[in-house]
Amino acid sequence: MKSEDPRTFAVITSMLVRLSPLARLLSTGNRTVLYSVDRPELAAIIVHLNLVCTKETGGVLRLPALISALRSLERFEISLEEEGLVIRGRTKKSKSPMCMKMELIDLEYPPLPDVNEQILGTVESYSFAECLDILKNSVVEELVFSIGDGAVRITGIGFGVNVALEISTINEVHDPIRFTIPANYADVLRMLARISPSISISRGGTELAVFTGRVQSKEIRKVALVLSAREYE
Amino acid sequence: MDVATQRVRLWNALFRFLKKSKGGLLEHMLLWFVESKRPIKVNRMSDYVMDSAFNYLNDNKVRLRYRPLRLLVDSGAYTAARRNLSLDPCRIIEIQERLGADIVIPLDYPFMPNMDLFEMRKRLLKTIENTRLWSEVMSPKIEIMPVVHAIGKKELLKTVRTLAEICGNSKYMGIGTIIDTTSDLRGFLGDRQPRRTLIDSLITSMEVIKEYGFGVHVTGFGSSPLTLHLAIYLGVDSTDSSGYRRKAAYGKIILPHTGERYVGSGKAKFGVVKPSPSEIEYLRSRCGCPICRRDPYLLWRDWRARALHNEWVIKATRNIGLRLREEGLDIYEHYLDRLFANSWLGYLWRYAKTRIKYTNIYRC
Repeated sequence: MKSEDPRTFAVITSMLVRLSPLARLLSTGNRTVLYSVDRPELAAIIVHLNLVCTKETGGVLRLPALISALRSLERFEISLEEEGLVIRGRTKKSKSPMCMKMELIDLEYPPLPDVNEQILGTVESYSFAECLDILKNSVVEELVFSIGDGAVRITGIGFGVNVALEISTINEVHDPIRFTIPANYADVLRMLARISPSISISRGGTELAVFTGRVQSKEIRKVALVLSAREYE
Repeated sequence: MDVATQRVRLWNALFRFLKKSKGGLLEHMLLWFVESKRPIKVNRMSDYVMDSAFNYLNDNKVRLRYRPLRLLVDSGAYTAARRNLSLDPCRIIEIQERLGADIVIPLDYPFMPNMDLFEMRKRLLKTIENTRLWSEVMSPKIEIMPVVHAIGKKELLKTVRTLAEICGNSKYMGIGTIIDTTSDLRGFLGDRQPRRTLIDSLITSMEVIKEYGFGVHVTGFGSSPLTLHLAIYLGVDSTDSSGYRRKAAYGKIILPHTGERYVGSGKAKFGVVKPSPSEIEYLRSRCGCPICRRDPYLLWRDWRARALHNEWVIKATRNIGLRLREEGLDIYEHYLDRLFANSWLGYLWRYAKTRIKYTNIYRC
């Protein structure tokens, strides 16, 4: 599968690395998923890839080396082969051909989170990323999402701090709802907003929030950030 | 009025209020004060005391030089591992019995930096083997506190289950070196540095250990008021403090809320923050410790006086922490928000709070 721009894939790999330097690749014939879970198991990023593999395969990948490789390439081809994930391409400057083989390691890793999404609203990425830029600082401890009346109100709260911002929703399916997520994932959320034109906000059960981005890339279908959430009192 | 004075006043008011409202010590979290062959106090009849068999290895006549309320005797495994020494399990058992321990920690084999996985697994098996030996030969009057070391979450579950089978009658289980394979293959937590990964390992291990009905013992969290508050907030059942005497030996005293101050002879080269005039005034007129009530200038002259002062501050911190936790987690959180606001450990507090407030995504 050929791609013109490896940047999107590099950003997604960086997102995965923010949670864990290790990610697990799972392929069940027509469905291939790459996901990483952070150490406290409060967040997971699930990347649905457009990769086809003839047999069921899976294993853990060590990602950091992949980011620098993707950044130095101008175009690349990704495939799932016997030896693992293989990336072929040409470097930006010298146009030299490059082949990177990433072995699938048999290592203990948390399972793929099972999420039943229930979409609450969709927001436009640009304004969403802008809000997160403002709220991404060390004093904001939690982000409160209030969805309803055609808007998403994001409030950053911390000891002695309360910053509220409001953006309109493209569409909204459900009754007004309020939940909080830990603010230390604002950075990953902002990266997701950078690679997707819109973000769907969903709940997956009472204590999960799911932010999904539809990525305009040949090798990726969608990226979902699953976060532990709690009701806001 | 400066910030330090304000904090001291708040602390004093809170302490008086809690003393009036309930009084007495709470037993929700055991706090073991580390003593050795040169004790700070001989009469320890109201204290939980921890000692190490390592201190008595070369003694022909093993004898306790103080009288504790309850005595926990460690094997000294970590000190031995750092010095690359090998200890004889039979000698450790003999010392622990002769000291008249109430609780003993079997000789374990902690993981050290740069150890490969094969070596770690070998040490893990030896630790379990020793725990079995302790449970077989130790007098039934002496309780055994097994220590968990693990590589990965699956192994943590397996090890806790095995130790629970061996030491079914024990009340507490200690947390040793836990390596998380999902984040870092070289992860090492034996050094107890205040990192976020330490909080993660603690919470994960505590969840597993508590599922088996054991209380959790975490080494070293009683050394400073801030780490002690963190331990209480996280729900640790038992911890120890050697910092109260180590700091005193280095010329430092602990002040409630404001941290450590240097009152030694002037030879220290790092961490030298001398007490401000308002802090000296606090020590002279308001500190409730037995040394400051008699003569606060003893702190400048005698390291034992400093140790006694530090011990008093740690005990008072524990009482305040336990009472506030009992009043409600939100009340305690608000108190700790203010306490950690200007501390360099603030990041650790905010992280611990997030970990407690939010549920693991697999349990949602």
